[in-house]
Amino acid sequence: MRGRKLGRNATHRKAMFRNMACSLISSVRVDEDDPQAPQVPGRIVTTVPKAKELRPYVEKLITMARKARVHAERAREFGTTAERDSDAWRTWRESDKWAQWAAATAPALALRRRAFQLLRSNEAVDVLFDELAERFEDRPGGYTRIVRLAKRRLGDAGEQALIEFVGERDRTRTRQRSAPLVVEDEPESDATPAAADETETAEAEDAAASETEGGASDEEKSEQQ
Amino acid sequence: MAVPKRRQSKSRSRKRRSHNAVKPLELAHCPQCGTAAPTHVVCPNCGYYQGRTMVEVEG
Ligand SMILES: [Zn+2]
Repeated sequence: MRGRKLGRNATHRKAMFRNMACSLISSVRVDEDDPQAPQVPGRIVTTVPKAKELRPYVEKLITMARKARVHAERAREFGTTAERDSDAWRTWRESDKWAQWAAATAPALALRRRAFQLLRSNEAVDVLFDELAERFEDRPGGYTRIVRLAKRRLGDAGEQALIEFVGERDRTRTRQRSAPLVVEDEPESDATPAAADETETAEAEDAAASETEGGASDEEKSEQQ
Repeated sequence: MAVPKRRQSKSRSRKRRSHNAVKPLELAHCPQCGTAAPTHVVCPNCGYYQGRTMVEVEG
């Protein structure tokens, strides 16, 4: 088989990934009054191998939700806002609009049912198709991040990791340039307040050296892991 | 049943075990609070990892 067995048989593994995916997706929507509410939304803590196996499972679900979003968008123009069983709704139901709407919604509904097959939870599917699909609309994959934790699990000292949805707590990295880049007139505002003092003294001696110090700060780029 | 013919000498046992030493953990220091921790993990003291706080630690 593909991937890790994780010391379980096929059905046990399937049930475990279903539970984990449900927990991760449901944790996005936090109910304030719930005493058992997750401390950090959109995050669960497991072992490193389990997190790594869960990642493709969850990412495929999000891809499904994103694909369904396109169809749902297209179906909206044929839809109705009238209340069900009202007269306006009845006329819409009899018209061609309904047939067009049904045809346009069908792929979205099929994707929703496929996601439900994997999750078996209406709440998780709702969060997936309503919140996460919108959140990752323009992101071509890489929706989750796995970060190792220092603390080992009590009992078997298993390596723990957290898996969470990207978008919050993204890494900001100052990229190192391989060679100093010389710019004719360096804008003073580019330098960070901490680096500004250094820039002024260094400017007289070496313009190229101060550029590497000040220039690194505007290279700050959010990126996934 | 197969049985050892000779008692194993101290030298022989110790030579075999000469490669069994456990190496100390390779720890790195957190750039934010200086706590020693394994590399590529969230800091157990302040929750810092790769330029941002991943885990909020109370206190
Ligand atoms: Zn720290």
